[in-house]
Amino acid sequence: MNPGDLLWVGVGAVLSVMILSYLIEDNFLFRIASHIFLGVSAGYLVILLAKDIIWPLFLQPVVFGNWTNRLWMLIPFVLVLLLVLGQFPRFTGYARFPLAFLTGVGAAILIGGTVLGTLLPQSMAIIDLFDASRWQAGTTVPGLAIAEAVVMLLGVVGTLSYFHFGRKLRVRREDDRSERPFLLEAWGKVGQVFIGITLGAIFAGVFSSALTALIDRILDITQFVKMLLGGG
Amino acid sequence: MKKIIPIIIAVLTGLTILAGYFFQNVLSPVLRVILDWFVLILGVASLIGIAALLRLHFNKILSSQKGAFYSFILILVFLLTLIAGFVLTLENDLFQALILTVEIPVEASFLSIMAATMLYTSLRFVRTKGWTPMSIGFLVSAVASLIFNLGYIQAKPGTVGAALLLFFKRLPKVGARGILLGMAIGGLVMGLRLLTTIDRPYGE
Amino acid sequence: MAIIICPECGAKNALTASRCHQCDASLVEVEPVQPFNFEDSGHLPSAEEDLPGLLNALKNDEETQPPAEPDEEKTDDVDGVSEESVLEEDVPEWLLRIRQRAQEEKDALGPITQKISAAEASLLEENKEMQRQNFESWIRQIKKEAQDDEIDSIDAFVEEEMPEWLRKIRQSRETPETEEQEITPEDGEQTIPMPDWIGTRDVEPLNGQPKESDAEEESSQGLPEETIQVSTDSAVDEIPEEGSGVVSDVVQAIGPVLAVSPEEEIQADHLSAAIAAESMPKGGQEKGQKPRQRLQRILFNLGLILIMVLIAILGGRSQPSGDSLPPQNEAVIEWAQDLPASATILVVMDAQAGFYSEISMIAKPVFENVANIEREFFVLSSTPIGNLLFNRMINELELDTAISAQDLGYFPIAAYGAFGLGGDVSANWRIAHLPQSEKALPIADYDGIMILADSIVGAKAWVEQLSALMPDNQLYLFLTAQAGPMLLPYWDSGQVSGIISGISEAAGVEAALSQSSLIADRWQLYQIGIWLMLVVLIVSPFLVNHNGNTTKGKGGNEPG
Repeated sequence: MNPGDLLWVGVGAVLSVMILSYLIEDNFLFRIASHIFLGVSAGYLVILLAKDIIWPLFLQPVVFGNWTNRLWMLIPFVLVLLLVLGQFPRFTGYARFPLAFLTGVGAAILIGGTVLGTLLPQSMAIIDLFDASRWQAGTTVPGLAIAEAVVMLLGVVGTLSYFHFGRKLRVRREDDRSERPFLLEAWGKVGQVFIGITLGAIFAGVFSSALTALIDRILDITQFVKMLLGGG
Repeated sequence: MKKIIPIIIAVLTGLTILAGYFFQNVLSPVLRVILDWFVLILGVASLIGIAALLRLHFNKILSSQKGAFYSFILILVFLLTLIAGFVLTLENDLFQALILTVEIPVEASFLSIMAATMLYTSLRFVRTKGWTPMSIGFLVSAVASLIFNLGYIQAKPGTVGAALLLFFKRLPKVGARGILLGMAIGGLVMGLRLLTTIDRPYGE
Repeated sequence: MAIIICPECGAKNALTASRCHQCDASLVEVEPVQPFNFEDSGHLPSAEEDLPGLLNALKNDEETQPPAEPDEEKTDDVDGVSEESVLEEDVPEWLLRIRQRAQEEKDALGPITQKISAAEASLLEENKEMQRQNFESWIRQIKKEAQDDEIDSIDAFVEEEMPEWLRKIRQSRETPETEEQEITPEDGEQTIPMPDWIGTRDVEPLNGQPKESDAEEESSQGLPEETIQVSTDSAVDEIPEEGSGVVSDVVQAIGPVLAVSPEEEIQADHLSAAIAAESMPKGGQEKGQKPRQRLQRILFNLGLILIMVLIAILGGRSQPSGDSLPPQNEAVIEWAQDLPASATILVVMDAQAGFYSEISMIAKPVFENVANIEREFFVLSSTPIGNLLFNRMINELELDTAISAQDLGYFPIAAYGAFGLGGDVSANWRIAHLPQSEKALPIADYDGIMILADSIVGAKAWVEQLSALMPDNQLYLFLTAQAGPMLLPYWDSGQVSGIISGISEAAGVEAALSQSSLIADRWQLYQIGIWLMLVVLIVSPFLVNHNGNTTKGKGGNEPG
């Protein structure tokens, strides 16, 4: 057994045990391991940002570019400077400008992605389910395809009915509550069931992923013990 | 004037990016510039965040607060990682092994804790949530999904059983689609509010 | 003077206002309310005080006035409370808002407010006998709750933590000969013993300040040396000191009584409702968790780990079956097997280190099929550690020949990296003198884009942007089990060409591709873990709670 491998596996196993000790109680071993992890992550991130973002996008054009290149880089330089200045209490207001830039770009990408990437395609997908030509192909049971289409429509509308998108109406009288039409309310109940079904599947998935990680740690620790005992 | 400029910046950049979805060929040089600067500002913002974290822990050490020892460890490890990274460089196998040897076990162990916690807290699921349409659907679906994950239930391809099995396995997709559409509508509304400056997270 | 409380934001508005000055909501049909003037009613606590006037009066032992004269119109309330402690401000704004909102939007009230409203309504509407019974039952309930809490340290508390004002009350009770301290019950007034919770319970003030600090503050505002008399003008005729076991216990425990006005009684009920709600166990709080529950949790966790370790040591390998694959998995297999020899593949790493084990088990079978020297790989990361994880995965494959993988770098936040990738097309023009970015993404039509993601958010962002901007490229998702269910609709809509999600699907793909089984070592443990969760979920509805009651639903309390 390679001593180098033993070292890597050993370090990983020891760190795993330190973190897993939290299952018994919060203790100093857990905190030490957490802080080591934070330190390593922060250090690595700084290096990565410096190498992958700061250097190619800013420093390199400034250092190796010509004067017109550098003039162009004034704009991001000013934005960055304002962002840094905004961290000091006296100059908080200056951070508005780079934040506005971030907000504008972020909002646009959000709109574009949601409309073109989800709203339109997913809505078309629901409509396509009712395409009769699809019912004949791809499945041995056309009835199931029809059932799936109907269930999909009912479920999606029910799920959307469950969400409130508007503000609560102002209640003027005691009997003037913010009650929605009965059909919408009933459909929302149906939507609750489908949301519950989806959340249940997600719960099973989350547990499955976490369980996989636990198994991986258990195997790592047992492997290390075996290596220590000479088994390898 | 000071109030107008951020609004103009936000709206102009936003509209340019939006237009880029439809006029990629025409606007790609501008889009490239905006995105580069965007990523640069994000990167600097991340560095500022790390600096704030380090300052917090540094102050803890200086003022000898409770937990100063752990803060010392954090800063020490940070500096060692930084030095190792600049000396060995990111492409170095040893440096990569060092990073992964810490990151993978620790993060996976955090997930492991979550697995144990989920098991324990699931004992009180119904007691906490009660019997509602959503909780019943949740419970049944979770049990069914876990049973499917076990891999015991199989059906011969092309049979009615296989089609039925597939139908039930895909039921979560119904709610998922509804949730995705709901999230998309919410995101669209939020994006429009930002672009039309109804909401201004960058301040008045 | 009457005011109008805005139903939207709770701001006070003048009687003549038609729109709220703060939120501009219409006030046309809003009923005006009379602000409660403490000066008119007598000695009531300040709005600034976090504790109701009752507790403040109890603590105000140094500044309270002597027992008031019976013919004083305004002293049927708390006697012995100094004029200095008479508050000059209105009813607390929070109380006004609650009342206003209670009238208009009852369904918007939370449980505490509902309890408060119910207590208030019941007190106002019932007759004297009902009020007395309510008061008795309230004391009984508080005492019962306190008894259920199994407080063993009452004596210790009484001895060690007794507030200064309470100690003085008890001391004054021990020396009843002092004229000033002597109680002289007036005709028609009844003495009501101090509620149990005031004297013997470690009640936490609503403002969250520890009782110890209150005790310290009481040095300047302690209770009077003389006894304080409790009376109600409208409520209680007579509380039998012997008939009610609870009340008699309280009488014996603490002699001095307090004079309480109806308004203070209402506030006391509010306080009790709030305390009852505060004392209910909250989820996730380590503080106050009983030792038995803690031990149960520790034993459970240790047992779980022990079982897993034993099976890991003693258990063998087992092959999961992969007979029937869902169509989204088959699509991935088909793509991997039909890929041209000199294909260009983009790999997007959107996974964290903690999920490396699962992601690698899901993606490796496909990588073994597609990775060869002739194919060109580009690797893009939207997580800091992404590129490192990809390198490790490739190294662990132990391929015969090294593959060519170009690192395109790290793009924080998936959506922007995806937009940058998709929006980067060749244009007929350039911005003059703008430096060419070294981080530019290669413009290419890829034979496949493999997205390795551990979360819904990241994968969704990539799918949204790439399907919108690069619709001709095929996307293949390799997802952890937690991300799979939410992204299935994208496969359905055709935006994604194939998905493999979770260990169980990966096992089937692995079997279908006839690869060496990476999952076999873990499959048995995985099944044990799943079985454990199944048992827990199936058994949980039948479990009893601590009070011996079967589980009962709360029903209809979901948000939204």
